[in-house]
Amino acid sequence: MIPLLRICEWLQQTPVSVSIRESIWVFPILDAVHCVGIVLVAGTIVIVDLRLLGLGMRRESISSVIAQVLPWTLFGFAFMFVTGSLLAWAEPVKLYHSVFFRWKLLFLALAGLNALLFHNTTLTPAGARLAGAVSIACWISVIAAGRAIGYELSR
Amino acid sequence: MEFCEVFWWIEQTPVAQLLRNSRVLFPLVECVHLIGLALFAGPLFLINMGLLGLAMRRQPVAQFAAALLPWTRFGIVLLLVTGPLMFAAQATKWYDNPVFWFKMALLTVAIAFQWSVHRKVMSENAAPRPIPAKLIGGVSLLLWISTALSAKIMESF
Repeated sequence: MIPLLRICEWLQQTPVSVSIRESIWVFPILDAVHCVGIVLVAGTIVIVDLRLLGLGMRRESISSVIAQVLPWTLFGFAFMFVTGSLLAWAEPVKLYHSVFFRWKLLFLALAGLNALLFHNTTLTPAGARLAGAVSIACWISVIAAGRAIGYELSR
Repeated sequence: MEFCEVFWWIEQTPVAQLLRNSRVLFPLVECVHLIGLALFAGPLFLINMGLLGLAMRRQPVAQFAAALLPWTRFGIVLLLVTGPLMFAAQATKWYDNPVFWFKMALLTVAIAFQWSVHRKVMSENAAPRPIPAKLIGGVSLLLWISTALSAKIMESF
């Protein structure tokens, strides 16, 4: 098996990685779009989560809220994913050593798993509330870990 | 007192010093700012997409906005508390940053637009006329996205 660090080192030498890293404006612009993407994902999914918790939009059914909101969450996710991948491509070795990057990926995976479980099982009202709370906690953690990566890398 | 001295004075206040010198406090305030932004911008994004006719086809936009108003307001409170705190911690740095002034100008226009034109469209009980609604939704979207992008870019300027 090829060690992950080797893959990161190889990625870092690819032309795409070098050009993003060495450009003055590409990195900050990708970073800004990534940030707006995360805010969009978290800001729309929280509407579903609050509905699951019974804390907002109670006149609407859960399925109606999901049908209206989720396409835009996925829209935001596409921006977040593409820009995030390019940012990671620019600095894979630094990110390999970053503790907060691992936390961020973990909470992203948890948020995804939570959503997957929620959509594929019939949940009791208590289960739905739990899914909403877990989702909010995951996205706050993704935001916090993401911010921490910035400080970790610039040190 | 000159204008730039005011910024220096703000930076010397105990709260600003505390934030500047703490390795944990400043990032924490930043995170709360982002959470506030999510609470404010998520519903606003959907409302604007609704005005553009691209989302929220099942219910009037005004009804959707009203249902989430307490959370949107909570988001605004978080933004208004944490934003000035982050500014105070590095006030003189921002004084010299043209992108900061650009962001503040955009923010002022966006808030003015939100409070006047946008709010009027939202509070209309009858279905708003399609063209102005689309235009207003589009302008609001552009203003807020530009504000958010310049807020991030001013960090690297």
